Formats: sequence, C-alpha cells, structure tokens
Amino acid sequence: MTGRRKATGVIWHFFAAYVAALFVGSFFITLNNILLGGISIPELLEFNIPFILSSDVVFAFVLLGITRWRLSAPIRHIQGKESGVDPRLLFDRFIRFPMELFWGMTLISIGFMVLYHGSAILSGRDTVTPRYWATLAKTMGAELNIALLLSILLYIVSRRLLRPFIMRLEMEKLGNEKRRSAIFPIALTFTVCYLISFTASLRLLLVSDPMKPFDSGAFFAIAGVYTGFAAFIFFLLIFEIRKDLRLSIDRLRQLADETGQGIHLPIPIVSLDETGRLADAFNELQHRVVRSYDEVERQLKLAYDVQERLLPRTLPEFENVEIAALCQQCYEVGGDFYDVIRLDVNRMAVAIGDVSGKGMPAALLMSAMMAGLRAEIVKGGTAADILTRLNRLVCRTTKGTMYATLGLALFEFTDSAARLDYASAGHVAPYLIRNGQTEEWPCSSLPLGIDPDIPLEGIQTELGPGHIFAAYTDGIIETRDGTGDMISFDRWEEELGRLTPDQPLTRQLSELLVRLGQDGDSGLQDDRTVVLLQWHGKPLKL
Amino acid sequence: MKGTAKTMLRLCGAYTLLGAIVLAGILLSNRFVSNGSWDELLMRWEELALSYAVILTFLFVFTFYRLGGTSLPEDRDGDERSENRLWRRLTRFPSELFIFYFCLGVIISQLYRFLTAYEPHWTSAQWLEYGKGSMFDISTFGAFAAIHYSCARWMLRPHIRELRVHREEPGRFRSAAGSIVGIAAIGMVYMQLRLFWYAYSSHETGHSSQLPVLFMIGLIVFAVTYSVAVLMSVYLFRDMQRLISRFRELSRLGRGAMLSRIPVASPYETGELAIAFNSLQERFQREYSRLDQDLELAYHVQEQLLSDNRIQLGGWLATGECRRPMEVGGGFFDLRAIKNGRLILVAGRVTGSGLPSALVMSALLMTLRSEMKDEASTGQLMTTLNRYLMDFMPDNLRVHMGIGILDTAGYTLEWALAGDMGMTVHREDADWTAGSHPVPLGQLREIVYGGELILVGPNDRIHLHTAASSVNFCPEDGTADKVSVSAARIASNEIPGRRQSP
Repeated sequence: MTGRRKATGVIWHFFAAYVAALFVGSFFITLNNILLGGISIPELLEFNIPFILSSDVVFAFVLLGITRWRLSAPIRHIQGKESGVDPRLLFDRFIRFPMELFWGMTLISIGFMVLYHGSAILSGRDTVTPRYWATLAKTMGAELNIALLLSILLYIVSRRLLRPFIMRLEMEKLGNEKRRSAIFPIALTFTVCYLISFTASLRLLLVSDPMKPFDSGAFFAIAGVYTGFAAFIFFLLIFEIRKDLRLSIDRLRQLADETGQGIHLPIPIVSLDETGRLADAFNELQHRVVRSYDEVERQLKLAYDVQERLLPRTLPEFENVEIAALCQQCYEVGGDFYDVIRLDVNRMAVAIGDVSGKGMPAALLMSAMMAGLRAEIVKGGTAADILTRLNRLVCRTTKGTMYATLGLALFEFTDSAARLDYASAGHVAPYLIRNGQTEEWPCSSLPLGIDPDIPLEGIQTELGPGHIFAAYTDGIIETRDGTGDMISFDRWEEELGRLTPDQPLTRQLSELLVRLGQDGDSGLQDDRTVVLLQWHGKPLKL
Repeated sequence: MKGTAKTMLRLCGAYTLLGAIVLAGILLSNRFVSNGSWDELLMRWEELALSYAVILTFLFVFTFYRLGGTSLPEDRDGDERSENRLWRRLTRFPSELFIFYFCLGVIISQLYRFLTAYEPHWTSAQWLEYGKGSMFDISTFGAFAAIHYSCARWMLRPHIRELRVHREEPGRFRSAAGSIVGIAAIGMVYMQLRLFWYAYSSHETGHSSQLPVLFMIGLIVFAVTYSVAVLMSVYLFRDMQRLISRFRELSRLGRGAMLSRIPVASPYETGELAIAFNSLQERFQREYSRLDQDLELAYHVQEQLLSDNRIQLGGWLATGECRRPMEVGGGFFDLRAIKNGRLILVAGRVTGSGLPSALVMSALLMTLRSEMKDEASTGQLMTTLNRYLMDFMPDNLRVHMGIGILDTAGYTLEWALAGDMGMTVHREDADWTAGSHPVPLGQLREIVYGGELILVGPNDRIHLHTAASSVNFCPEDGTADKVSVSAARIASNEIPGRRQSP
C-alpha cells in the first residue's frame, strides 16, 4: 500500500469517529427534546431531526475536510517515509490537531446552533414571547454543553488516533512549543461532564408536574444515561492522559530490564503537557549521562594510542637474533608491558612487566614504570643493579601503595654465545627452551614498589644456537580454555616446547596464542604478554 | 521524621472541622432539601452531635493507632527497610481512612436508624424510607470519606517526600487516574441522589422543586467534587513536575551524581515512574561501574604519583597544588630536595584532558625523577625530557612545563620554562616575571632549552604556574588542569601542615 492510500485509511478512521460522535450528540439532543422538551417524535421528524441529521452530515464532511487539510500530508510523510520534511513540523501539526479539532468543533457547533434557532425565529416556527428567550437560553445552554462534550470526545479520539504517528516521529526534545498542563483539560472536562449530568436532571425536575405522581423511573433513566455518558467521557480523557504516562513508565521499565533492548533509547514525546515535559527532561538527562561516559570511552581509545606508543613500535634488529613480542590488554588500556632496548652494538635489554590491577589505574603505573625503566637502563649496570635503582624510584613515587613485577634480561651477543644476565622483581620465572625441552628459570624477589632496601640479585647463563628465551606475564596462565578452566603451567610448557628454530618466531607466537584461546566469548580476563628471543648461534655481522 | 505528631494533631483538627461542616450540611439538607421544620432540626441536633462525636473519637483513635510510632530516628543511615515500612504505612493511610470512615459512618447511621425507627413489623413505606435513608447515608459517607481521603493525602505528602525510599514492589502502586474517575463518579451520583431526594420530598409534601435549592445542591456538590478530583490531578501533575525538576537538576550534575536515585514520593503512577527510573539508574551504574571504579582508582594512582604537596628546606617552604576538572588529567608538580640545600620546583601540564594526558604525565614524572641528579641543571633536564617525550608522545599532545632550582643557602633561583608557563617572583618593591620558551616539550626533537639564574631575597615569594597569564589560563578549553607551585621563606616557629589532597 502506498503512503497516500495508508494516509487515506487513517483519515477515514477519523471520519468514522466524527460520525459516531455526531450520532451520539444527535441522540442526546433528541433525547433532550423528547424527555425534557416534551416534543413528540412526529413533531421532531418534521424539522428537528432532518435538520440535525443534515447538520451531522455537513459537520462530518467539514471535519473530514479540515482533517484532510491538516493531516493528510503529514501522515503521508510518515507512512511513505518521504524525506525532506522537518519532523518537528510534523510533530507540531500532530500535537496541535486535537486542540484545533476541539475548538473547531465547538465553534462550528455554536454556528449551527445560531443558524438553527435563528432560522426557527425568522421562519416563524418559534413564536417569540417574553418567556421564549429564557427557554432559548436554557436550550442553547444544554446544546452548548453537548457540543462541548462532543468536542472533548473528539479531542480524546484524535489524541488516541494520532499517538502512533507521534510516537513514530520519536521526538526526543521539546522545542519552543507552548507548554500546556493536563490539568486544564481535566478541569474543563469534569466541569462539562458535571454540567451535562446536572442540567439534564435539573430540566426534568423543573418541568415535572407537582400534581402528577413523581416519576422516579424517568428521573433515574435520564440521570443514569447522562451521568453514565458524562462519567464515561471523563474516564476516557483521564485514561488517555494516563496512557501517555504509562508509556513513559513502560519505556523506563523496558530500559531498566537488562535482558531487553539497549539502555540508550529515549522516551518518545507524545504531548506538550507534563508527560511530554517529563520525557523531555528524562531524555536530556539520559543524553548527558551517555555523553559523559562516551567521553570517558573516547579518552580510553586515545589512551590506547598513547600506550601503544609507549610499547616498542619496532624491535631493534640484531643479526641472527629473532625477537617476537605480543601484548594484549583485556581492557582498552592495561598494566602489562614489555620493552626491548638496544644498549650497544652487541648488547640489548629485554624487559617484561605486570602492574597490579587492570585498566586505567594499571595503565598509569605502567607508563610510569616504563619511563623509569628506560631512564635507569641507560645509566648502566647489571640487571640486578638496574632493578635495584628502579625499585627505589618506584618506592619513592608510589610510597608503597602500588607494586609491579618486572623481569629484566640483559643480552650480550658474542661470536660463540649469547650471554644472559637476568633479574626479576616478583615476576613469573621465564623459560629457556633448549632443543624442544622447556626449562623454567627461577629467579625471584619481591615486586617493585614494596621495599626500597630489598636486595635484588641476578642470575646468568648462556644461550646456545637455536635456544629460545621466553618471558611472559601471569595473564597467560590465567587464560581460560573452552571448559572455563585456567590453562595450567603444564599446558603452557607443552605449548612452549612446540616452538622450533625452523619457523619464524613471530608466526609461532601468534599461533601459540591462538591455540591458547581468548577466554571463550567473554574475552580476556587479564592482560597477557609474551616476549620470545631466539639466538641462531651464528657469528654476528656488525 | 519530625512533626508526625504535629501532623496527627492537624489531621484531628481537620476531622473536627470537616465534621462541623458535615453536621451543618446535614442540618441544612434536612431543612432545605428534606423540607424539615426548625423544631425537627433542633430535635435532631443533639442526636447528630452525639453520633458525630462518636465518629470523631473513633477517627482520632484510628489515626493515632495507624500513624503513632512512625517517627524515624535521626540517624537514618542504612535503615532502608524501616523507611520502606513507614512509606507503606503513610501511603496506605488515606485509603485506610477512606474505608474506616465510610464503614464507621454507615454502621453508626444504621444503628441510629434502627434505634430511632425500629418497630417489630415495618410497613412497606417504612422499608422504603429505610432504603432511601440508607442509600442517602452510603452516598453521603462515601463522599465525605473521599474528602477525608484527600485531606489525609494532602497532609501526609510532605512526610512521604521526606522518606528516602528508592525502590518498592510494583504491586504496591495504585492508579491516581482510577481514583480521580472514581471521585468524579461518586460526586455526580451523589448530586443526582440529592436532587432526587429533594425533588421527591418536595413532591410528597405537595411542593414543586425550587430552582435556587436545586442550584445550591448542584453547586455545593460540584465545588466539593471538583476540589477533590482536580486537587488529585494537581497532586499527580505536581509530583510529575517535581520529577521533571529533579531530572533537570541531575542533568546539571557531574557524571557520578547524574546516576543518583530519586525518592519515591507517591503511591500512584508518579511513584511507579520514580521506581522505574531508579531501576534504570541502577542499570546505568552497573553498565558503567567498571569505568567509574577505574576512574576512581586512577585518580588515587595519580595522586600517589604526585609528590607531597609540601616540602621544607633551609627555612623555605614549597607547596604545590593541582586542580583537575576530571578525575585524571595531565597536570603535575614535583617538589624535591637535592644536595647542597637545593630545592627543585616543577610544575606543568600535558595538553588535552583525561587519561591520555595522564599517561604521558606519569611517564614524564617518572623520567623526571630518574633524571633529577644532584648536579642537575634546569635547561639540561628540560632538554632530556623533551627528547624522551618525542619518542612516544602522540602528535596532538604537548607538555607545558617549568622547572626551578632554588638554592636556599645561596639565594639563587635557576629556572627554565617551556610553553605556556608563568613564573613570578613576588618582591616587596616590584614583582619580577620570567619569560617562557615559546616551544613546549614534545614539539621539536632537537631543541635545546637553556636555564637562567636570578637572585632571590629572603622575603621573596616564588610562584610557578601553568598558563603565562591568568587571562589565558586554559587556552584549549575549560578542561585543562591548573597547576601551581609556590616557595617562600617561613618563620622558624611556623610548622608546615600535613599533605592535603589537591
């Protein structure tokens, strides 16, 4: 169905509502005339009923015309998804229409009342006597009351019919529209409903003959019908307003439900009264909350770039030495780090560290740790000397409140061997892989930042051709396999044992990490870093 | 919860006042609607007064029974359950009062009718009279119960709003819309019954209905019903207006405070809305808890990375201050004593904001401390730091920084400034202001910063701060950290205070 056809369908819904409302109005006017005015049905059929019915037809088509004029294009725009129209203009048109209809209906009704009674006077059908004007005023009062009630009914019905379209616009913010209060329609509707209920009984009682027996049945019939109808109209209006409020409550519940949709959906504004303003205020708050956390996340992404730059972007190249390193943070930023620094033509330092904690706080200490390490390494000394100086610096900076583990390996490559000087501050022991045999190389002390006077000692060894030095952080062991269990040291050693001198080390490292998996669907539970260094055992070409 | 006793007394006063109005209404109704004579009215006055005194006594007892002991202790921390209990009691009370008043009124009026008109065998006319009277009693007490309901709700609202109830079972909420429609319907039915009763009585006595009396019935019932029904709507929308204001207030607060919950002040739709909102706030908190915790921890880590904000050496006291608009940022200062009575004063900030700047700042601070040798000079330190920063700093970040080395014994100040930094020596006669090198750190690798030396007097005060002029304090935006370091001689008996959080 095209947008035009769908729009026409909605307009016909409005037309049906107008016909129904006008029929109800005509029914009450006729009831007034029969029960209260004492006019017989044949008399009414002469002029009154044909006039009312023809008025209804004219009314219905006038209202239809107004509805088509005001709503056809906006509905088509929404249903046909036609672009180029400001949604705020459509919103404005939809939101104002019920009140326009209310006033339009009221004014047209007054026009018809004047026309009817004027024609009755001018044609001589009504004889103008001194009491006539009082009777006319009462009659017109009752008719105006019915007209107001019908206007309210149309206001309610049009609000109801237009709500889906207003919701589809998904307005999140009120503009400069005139703010209204729902108290006004409630107060007006109650007054009109009460008046129609009261005046019907009043007119019946005033025309009752004291000489005849009191007709309780007629009183209760009239009172019942009018009061019931008035209460029904009031009920419709109140529950229509309540529906707007329920919409907000239900959307909030839906958002709060963690199994439901995203948390960032706004509450659509469907009115200009308190419920609309409430949705507007909530949407603004939600927007600010989301924006503030988006800003934090944006900063995390920028911080990731900074941290990436802190880590070595390119590894120093030594002939016959192959280095592979990988650092994976479980959040955007983290506390794992490594560094590979050329110290001399045949000396290099390899460091790997793990700051306690994860995320932003760990990243702050990690950057400080890397900076301190680089500054201390260039001052020279053994691995133990460097870590001892760094430990004092860390203790002075963090005042014993944070700590980090660090393993530092200093390599010196000669023609015949690769000498290794290693010191550790609480870091997990590295492995030496010699001919497929993994050998844990225990060397440990307290982590950095705990005690400034702790003596740190290093150990030395030599790597033969094809031997691999493997350092890692504890996040590797804490990686969870498919069953949700942490991989064991045995598994890790088994994987390291698969490393061969024949394959590029970088590729082997990537494959190794793939084999270990990434904690199933939940991603990494901890940062993890691995550094591998292999000396191929050939004379260096400097 | 102060003033609950006062509210109970006010409620009792309101019952008495409403009772007087009801009595007057019944007497007037008897006179004008039922066409009773003044003699009959005088006869009924004592009976009615006695009956109403009994009703009032019961109402007082009921109110004190239901609302007595509802005060909360002054210390309400962690007492959420008792606040919830109290909330339920206060929100239920108007409905309980409605039911109690209605039932009590009907029972007493029935007793009265039986006591005054009982005969072993009633005629059909008597049964009819009894039926009409009972119908009248039911509608009257229903209407007045609604007025008492509205009155109690109005008086208890301030106390309900005082409670810090943030969650409640959804089933405990009622529909204000239903109550408004119910009250309107009761009003209209009551008006019809009164009209009928008056017209019927008039007709039975051979009179025709008087228009002024009919109008008066309509007007009085309208006034009362309108007041109650529209007042309930006003309550509902005023509660909504409060929620709107609260949402707007929260929007203006900082990130953490924006997720505050709001107290549930109503047992109707607005209360339900507050509950749903609070649930959503909890979900927001859960979703963002990692970020919030991380930020809080990062704040503490960065605080630890900064040096103590006070240091005393050779009669000089140096203090540092860093004000951040966010939890973490690029502002830093360092105060360090080195050999030969020298005091290093450092202040600066990494451009940008938040964590990226903080990461650069922490790396810079660690390098600075590692390079702060006893024989350090300001220009050399600055140059070394610049080269180090060039290795990793993103292109969009810079470091504005100033270093001063104060010789507390020799009364000299060596200084070097880079970027948008300011240093002023406040003297008794005139202030001296240092010029900054225009290029901040991290912009040019090969730049060499030079240090300069000035003499300082014992009464001079040194002030090193970010931004060269206060006019241009935050050149990028309002989110830049503001850092300053000051040094001045102190009197010998002045004891410097402990470290304070910036």
